[in-house]
Amino acid sequence: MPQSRGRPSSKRPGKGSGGAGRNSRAGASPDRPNAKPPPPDSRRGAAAAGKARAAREAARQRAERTQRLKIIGIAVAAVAVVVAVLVIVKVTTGNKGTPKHVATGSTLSKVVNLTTTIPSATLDGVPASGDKPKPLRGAQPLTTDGKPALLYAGAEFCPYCAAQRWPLVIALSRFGTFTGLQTTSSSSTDALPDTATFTFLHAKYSSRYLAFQSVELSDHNGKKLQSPTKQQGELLSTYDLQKYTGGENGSIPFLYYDGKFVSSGATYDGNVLQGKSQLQIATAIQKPDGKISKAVLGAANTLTAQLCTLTKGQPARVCTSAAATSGAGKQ
Amino acid sequence: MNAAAVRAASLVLAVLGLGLSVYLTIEHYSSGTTLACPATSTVNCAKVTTSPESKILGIPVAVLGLLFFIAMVGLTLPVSWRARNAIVHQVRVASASAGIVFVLWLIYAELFRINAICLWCTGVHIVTFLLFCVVAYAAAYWGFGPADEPAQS
Repeated sequence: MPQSRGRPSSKRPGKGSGGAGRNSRAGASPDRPNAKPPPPDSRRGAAAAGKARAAREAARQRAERTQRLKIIGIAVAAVAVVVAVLVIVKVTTGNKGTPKHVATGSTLSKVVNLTTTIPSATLDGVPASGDKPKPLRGAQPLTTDGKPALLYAGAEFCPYCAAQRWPLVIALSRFGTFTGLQTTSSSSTDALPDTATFTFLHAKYSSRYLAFQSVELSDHNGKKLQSPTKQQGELLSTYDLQKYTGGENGSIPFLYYDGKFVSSGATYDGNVLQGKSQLQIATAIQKPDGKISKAVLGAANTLTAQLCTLTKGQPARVCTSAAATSGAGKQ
Repeated sequence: MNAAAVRAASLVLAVLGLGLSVYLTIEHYSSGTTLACPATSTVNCAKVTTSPESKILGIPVAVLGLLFFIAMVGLTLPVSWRARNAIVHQVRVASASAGIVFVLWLIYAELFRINAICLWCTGVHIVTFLLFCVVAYAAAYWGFGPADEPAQS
């Protein structure tokens, strides 16, 4: 600023290239012989005042712009801070919900007993139903101690895993014995909230005919529970894909039948279990009629037929039953 | 950042957001009922896009996002940035601000009400935030006038 004011004063009128010089030449034009040029000092003062005003205006605009940029910066920072606070609160507090339906003590024993000892006649009275697993060709066999194995991967929060455990427990109980079965219910904030079910977290299964491998990947709140073994992880990454299961890649519940069949997702509509406790469901499936029985026992019979292909029809009393053959017939 | 860069950045972001919104809208109307869960409960697009929070007054949030980005594409076209009418620039700032407030609500809903995150939705949130930054910067720099001159320092 001082330079702009100082420069004109160092120039002689008429010799510079600035406005004062041009005006000076116009004032001496022969067309306007009587026109008196304004005094050089006055012209320089006006020009300087104009430049000062412009400079002040520019400075004011810069200051306003800087002020606006500060406000915008604060607004953007505020948005970022709000998001950060939300994420931090979520990460530090996490989900701490507890399963709505949990059977313990004598109720647990009753539920397990009712579910694992359904009479053959009851199962025979329900036609096999539900989705069937997809056949695999040339896939890696899965055995445990020389017995064909069924691999289950699921999670306690998952409502479709919750639904699928019922027919799984029923079907597998026809080939062997479960111990350590406990109960839980699916997430309260997911589809089919609080679906009452079992958990395989501490369950053991023994059978002369086949093995059962289970992985509960996450708990009711989605926190990590069990990790698959290396082999199980490879099977999950290799076969839990749409091209094999027909479902979304990486979906659960995932079932791998000794390299012969594969499926992901529940094989029946778990809506029928909504609002029911484990005991109510276990009681409902004691009779072949009713929505719950038709869905759960029908799906169990389909599973039984699949398992019979793994055990090569053993035990015969199971694999030749109406329940199993109705499932096999639908293949 | 000069005017041309602001114009280009805002338009690219708006078009990107529009693409994501189109995808989410198609997914909203075409996704079938799958009886399966993703292996992790945290990242679960289906849970988010089928939650009660996925609709506001019966209108799918995906559709609201689509409408938002259609408007933002129009408001970030070069002709809009050069508009002499201050209302165009005011509407742009107001829309971007409304968008970011809505995004904050959606993030809250995902984290605390739905308990799941949709990565596609997160993509939309990031784009909306960046768009808000660019539009706000332009408003601070050029006010509600046309952003068609080089920035002055």
